[in-house]
Amino acid sequence: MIKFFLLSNKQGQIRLSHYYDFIPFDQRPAMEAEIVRKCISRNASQCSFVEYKDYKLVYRRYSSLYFIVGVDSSENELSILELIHNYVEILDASFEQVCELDIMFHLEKAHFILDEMISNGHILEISRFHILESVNLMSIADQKS
Amino acid sequence: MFERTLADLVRGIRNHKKNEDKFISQCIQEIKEELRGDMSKKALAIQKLTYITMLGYDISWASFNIVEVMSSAKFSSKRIGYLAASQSFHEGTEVITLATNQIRKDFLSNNQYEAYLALNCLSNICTPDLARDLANDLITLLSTQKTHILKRTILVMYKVFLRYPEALRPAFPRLKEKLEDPEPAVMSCAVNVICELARKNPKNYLTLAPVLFKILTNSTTNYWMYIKIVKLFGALTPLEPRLGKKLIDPLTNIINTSSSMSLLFECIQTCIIGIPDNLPLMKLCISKLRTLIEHPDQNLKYLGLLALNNIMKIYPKAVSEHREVVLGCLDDEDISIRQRALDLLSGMVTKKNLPDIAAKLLRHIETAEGSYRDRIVEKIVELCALGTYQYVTDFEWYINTLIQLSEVSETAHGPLIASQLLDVTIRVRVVRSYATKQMIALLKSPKLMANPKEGGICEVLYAAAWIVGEFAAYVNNPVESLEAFLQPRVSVLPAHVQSVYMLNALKVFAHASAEAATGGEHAGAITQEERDDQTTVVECTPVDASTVEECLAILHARLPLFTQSIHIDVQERACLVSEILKFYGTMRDQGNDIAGELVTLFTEALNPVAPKAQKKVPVPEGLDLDAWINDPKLQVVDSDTEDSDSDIFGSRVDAGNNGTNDSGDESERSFDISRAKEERIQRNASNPYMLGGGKKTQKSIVDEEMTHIPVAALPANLGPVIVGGKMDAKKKKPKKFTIDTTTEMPENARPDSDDESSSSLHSKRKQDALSSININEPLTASDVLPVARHRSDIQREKEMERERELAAQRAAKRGASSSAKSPQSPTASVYTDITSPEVQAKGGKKSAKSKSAAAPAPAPVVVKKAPAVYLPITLENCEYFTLSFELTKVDQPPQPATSTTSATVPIKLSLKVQNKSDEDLSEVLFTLVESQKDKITVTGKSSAFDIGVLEAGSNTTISQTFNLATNTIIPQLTLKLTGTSSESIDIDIDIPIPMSFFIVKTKISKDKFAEILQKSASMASASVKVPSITIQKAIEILADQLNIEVVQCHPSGSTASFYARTNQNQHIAMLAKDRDGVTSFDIKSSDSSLAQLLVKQLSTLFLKQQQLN
Repeated sequence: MIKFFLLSNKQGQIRLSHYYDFIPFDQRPAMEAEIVRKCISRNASQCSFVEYKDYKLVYRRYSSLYFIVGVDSSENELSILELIHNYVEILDASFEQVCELDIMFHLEKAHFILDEMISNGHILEISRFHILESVNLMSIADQKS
Repeated sequence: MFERTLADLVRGIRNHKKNEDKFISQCIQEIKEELRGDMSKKALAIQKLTYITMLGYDISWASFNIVEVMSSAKFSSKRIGYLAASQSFHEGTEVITLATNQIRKDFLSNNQYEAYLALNCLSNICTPDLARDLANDLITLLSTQKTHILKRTILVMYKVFLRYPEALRPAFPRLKEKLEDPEPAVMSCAVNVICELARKNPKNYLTLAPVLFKILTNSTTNYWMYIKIVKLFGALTPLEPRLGKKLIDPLTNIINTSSSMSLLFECIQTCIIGIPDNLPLMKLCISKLRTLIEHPDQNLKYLGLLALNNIMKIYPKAVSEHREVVLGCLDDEDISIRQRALDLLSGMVTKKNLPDIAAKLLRHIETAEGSYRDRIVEKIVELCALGTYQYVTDFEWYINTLIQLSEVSETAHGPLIASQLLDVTIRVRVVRSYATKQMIALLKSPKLMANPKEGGICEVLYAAAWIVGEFAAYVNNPVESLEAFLQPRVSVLPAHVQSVYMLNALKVFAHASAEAATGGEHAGAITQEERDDQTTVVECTPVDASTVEECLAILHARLPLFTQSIHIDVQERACLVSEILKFYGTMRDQGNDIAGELVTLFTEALNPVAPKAQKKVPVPEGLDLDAWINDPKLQVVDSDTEDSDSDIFGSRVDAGNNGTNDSGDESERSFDISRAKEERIQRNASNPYMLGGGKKTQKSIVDEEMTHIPVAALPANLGPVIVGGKMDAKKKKPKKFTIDTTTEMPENARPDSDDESSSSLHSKRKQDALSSININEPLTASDVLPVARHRSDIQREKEMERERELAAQRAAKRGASSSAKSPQSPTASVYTDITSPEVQAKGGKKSAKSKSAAAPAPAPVVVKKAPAVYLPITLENCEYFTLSFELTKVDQPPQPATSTTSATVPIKLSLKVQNKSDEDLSEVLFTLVESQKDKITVTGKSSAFDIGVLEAGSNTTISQTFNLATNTIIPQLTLKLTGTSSESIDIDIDIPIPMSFFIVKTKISKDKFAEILQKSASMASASVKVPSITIQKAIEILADQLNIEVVQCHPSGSTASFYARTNQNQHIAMLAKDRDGVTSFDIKSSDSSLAQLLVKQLSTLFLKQQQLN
């Protein structure tokens, strides 16, 4: 099961976070900082998996952004890597050349895409087409009201 | 007023890098203002708060506003509200309950986007309350046609199950259907949920295997789902070995052909867990893993090592052929990979390569840091200690390695190294001389004392001191070692280490003085043979009287420091030592040298104590461990009057003064037992005679062969090996050594070896509510989900309840007169399904006589504890009455076994009659129909029971006891209901009598069963076929509802035989077979009508079961 999804930049600032298991707010900043530090300190020639407490962190770097997913021991690490890539591709398609600022200013959209893909810690939908379709429909519904 | 948008906030935060906190708190102030504004302002404020949460600020103060925004009519605002809720709400958020109805409304909304939002949010914030309140609606939603909503609902259900496990059983049938949904995404979600559920209790989901297998073999491109299914099979196969065999082909196929690495990896993992005994498949997996490990992609390398580690747990030696590859990974620059390779090492070591591997690891220690360094230390020790030093050929090398490890700075493994040193020196005799020499060096070295912390590296000194003292015979220079023992800086060490120093200083002195007095003939001296066996022969300088004097001088000079120690244990030991020395001195002055006696104090060898040995000490006869030693009264006074501090002090002083303060008052001695125990544990920890700790006494198979290896005798002139210098491999000769793996057990130890470890493991298994639910049991009346209802409904129901109670009271009064003689025991009540379509009755008007039939009783469920339930009888075309009934069997008073007089079965019928018309009815009367009068008699005067006048809208309850003749089975009770209003009414009512009333629960052995079958060849037979139902379920249902007990059940679960006896002593024998999806029941009975009746009952019964499923 997926426990959390983090998006951080190279400076360690969190740009998006979603927890599928509740973690008290006061513990989050410290935990996030440690997780991000662990991931950032690794170079490209090292593998994308880090063990952290009870979690296994699967991360992937896209230019200056780190996508970090915390999973429990039952999850298949490679499939999570593929999931991250899928998410980035969808972000890219819906923002047209996504960059850090896009995500900051359209946080709710990034969240919505994530919700389309992952629900309750499980993979919900993987088809790019379906996800983009509902993202577009949602923005239309948003504008209408 | 100027308002910041979210974009402004983000920009603002970026522009205020230096005082971000200040800026954000300013923004929060603004937001608080905005939250007082209209909805659009609120939404904007909440949107900003959502961003701020992400930065780690708690916004729980705004929870109520979030709920407000969630209920906004405007979609864009609602969306903001829901996002904020899913980000910030948690189980402790109280306002969630306020949102319950809003969420329900939204996910049932026609606007599918609102439903999206609500479901997504629910999956994040679901609390047990929400789960309970919404479970029923969500289950209803599972039958929706909208794929997008369906997918989300399925996933939300998992969260609901977690929070409210009771929902699982009612929801499961629906969930199961979704596995065969044509839409792959829906199927994938269902697989996801079932996979997670199966991890908690795989047994429940074995029945799904065929469906899952079908999905696995049908090709889809959804690898994520494939992965989940393969994982699910991994959980199922250990429970059902046959499944493993079936899986071999598809899995081999995927492993060989799949282009997806993730799927390949998952298949390998599943093979390892599920089908480890298939060797060709395992070989394939191992070879695939090798390609992964050799792959340039670091990720694959990591996972390959991970999976290889799993194989190693099953086949410890299978992975050894890839030794080179794995050892290569030890040099990888990635710490994750190195760690995984480290895990694999225990499968890689051999006698030959152990020194190389250890050397490699030791080199790594220099560059490693943090926990990784500790792991390496741990690993080196683990590898060497494997199988009680199975792979160690040179114990001097091992002692050196341990010493090297103790020099690793800031390692947390001081106690581990210490216990290894003790263990090796005790178990391997030949290394003692060398070890003692090295330990003296260690004691002198200032390095280990640099950081004297309990549990730190100075623990090694504890072991060193003990070894030097215990094997003092190998000490070549007692003066030197005594100086090491008593150097002033020792006083900074932890108390337990210091105590060991004290006693062992005495041991060394005792040996030295005995040596001087007897010239090597004393009791503690080592024999020449033992000396020759040693790997290293240390030249002992002969000890003479002057050396002893020197030793005494050192002891006298240095001991006072320790007799004044702040640690009581140390003080006690130091005092003891100095007292003994004083005694020795006085005796010597008198001309008696007691050196020989002194050394006998320490000559008994101390061997490792077996784990659990303490427990196995038999309690001597006549000793009652639970009896009070002192009068308990005194203790009460003690603990009440004295405060604990002075108590501890009192008892400690006792110990410290070595019994001189013996005459303390009574209360001082009777301290708390538990405290005494604690103290004892503490004392034991610092007692060199107590070898605590499990690691020291690892039990394992004795490597017997090793002890029998023929070894050439060492030439006498080999000379001492140069210690610490480079060891010349060529010159090294194989040495004879024995590893003493015996452990001490108390005499007459109790043989029963309670397997505690396995039992504790057992109890450790997670037992949460969700995993203890069995979904294979049929649904029962208790599996009802709470349904949200309008309060007027609830009120109405309460009224009904009250009425029923009143009626019952009335009935009880009436019944008291009529059936006072037959005591009514708590009876089983009976009800039939309310909505059952067969329930119908034709009502008559204008004396048009018509027949009405109540439900043809699809075998009533007997609910033992549930309160009586009235079942409606539907009367068609009758505008006057609403009827419901309850039929119970009145337990008969116990009768003598021989009695044949019990010709009747008393049953009690309660009828609830309501006049639903707006006319008053008079002369309402129930009479038993003529045709049944010979079979049924009514207790009391007449065969009729009348109600009299029934006013419009009113209702009443009557009850009556009937006696059913037992000479035949009566399927139903037919009553005639008559009444008069503007027209006369005449209705026939059939009330089904459940068959179980006539069946006596009988359990018989299978031999008896066969006998009955043989004897009564002329039995009438009948058979019925029903769509597949598992035999297990059939057994349950039959026993539960028809009182028919199972006689024998085939282990495969495909056939079972049943037996029952009617109250007329008629036999009913039945054989159930489950074949090709159809279950057939062959019934044999002494009465043909009985058999036919049973056939009818069975078919309706099982049909109903199937509808329930």
